[in-house]
Amino acid sequence: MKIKTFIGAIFWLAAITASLVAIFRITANIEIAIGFITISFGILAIIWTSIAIKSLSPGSSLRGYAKTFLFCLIFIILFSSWHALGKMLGWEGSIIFPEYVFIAIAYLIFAAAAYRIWHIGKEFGFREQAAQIKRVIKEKKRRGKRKKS
Amino acid sequence: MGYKNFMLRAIMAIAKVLYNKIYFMLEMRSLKEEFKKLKGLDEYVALVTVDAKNYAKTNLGIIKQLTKEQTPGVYVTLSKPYETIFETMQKKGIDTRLIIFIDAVTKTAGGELRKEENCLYIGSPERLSDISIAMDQAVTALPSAKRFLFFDSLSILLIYSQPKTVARFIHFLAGKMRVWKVKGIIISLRREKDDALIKELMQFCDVKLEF
Repeated sequence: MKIKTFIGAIFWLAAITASLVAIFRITANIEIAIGFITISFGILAIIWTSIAIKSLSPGSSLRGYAKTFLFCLIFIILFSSWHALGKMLGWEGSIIFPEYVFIAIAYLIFAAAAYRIWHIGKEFGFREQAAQIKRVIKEKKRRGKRKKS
Repeated sequence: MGYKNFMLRAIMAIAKVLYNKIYFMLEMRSLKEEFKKLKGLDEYVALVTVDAKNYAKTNLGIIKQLTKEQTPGVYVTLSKPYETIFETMQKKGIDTRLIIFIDAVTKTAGGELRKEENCLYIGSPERLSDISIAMDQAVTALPSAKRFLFFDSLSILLIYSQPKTVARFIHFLAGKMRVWKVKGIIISLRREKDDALIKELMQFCDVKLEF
């Protein structure tokens, strides 16, 4: 099993290196190459998030959060794609404005996602209850000791 | 004649109360006997199958036994609303301050999550992801090495989800119970139609208790 994992990791590494070399050779421009690399990571993130959404229960808060996060990723990808295309094709003037719109929307949805996770943290956090239980146990132990003495 | 009738009724009422008391005591004794199987164990996963008739009493008996040992825990209810369970527990002298409740029965406004004192309302028993997160957070928050997780019940889960989904969920739950190192109790009604599933689930559990 370990050998299989090791061989798999080597293949992954080789594939990533080969694709990086190919991107740098094709584009020859570092900014565009980095743009494409970040897009590929973004697509991977979208795939993983979509799988997560499919596995989570319908209507669950985590699924809701994952959906919001997916929208953030989509707008970030749109921004990166537009930016990379602009650099590649030498766009100038008002045609570059949509990238600002994409990034602005992405940040807005990020704020919504952050609000959702804050809400989830508030609902699912049991710190107060745990502190109360701790007090009760301490109190009971103290009473037990008093009874013994 | 009226006096005789009154006396007869009084005797009948006393006999009924006594019968219930004795029945409950015997039930508790059998519960203690069954629980001896788990004595000395700090962590386990137990599948408890109960007759519909003894369902409520057994649940209360198990919780009473656990809280007596000052073990804090999490009570996940899919069968009765938190308010009902809380009142019954208080009447039976169970220290509810040691328990965090997760209620997946009570319908909340808009099906949203809602938290009140020591209970988290999930909104629907179908939301297994939320139930899982809530259990994880509640169990890991408990301030004691010894703790319990009481899941009530498997039978209700089967009403809302496919047997395959339930089996997967219980497999996940049993695995988590081992990671959390808790006294895990999964309650199920004893019904013929669930026999196959219970047999399948037995492989994930350490012990099966029957009441």
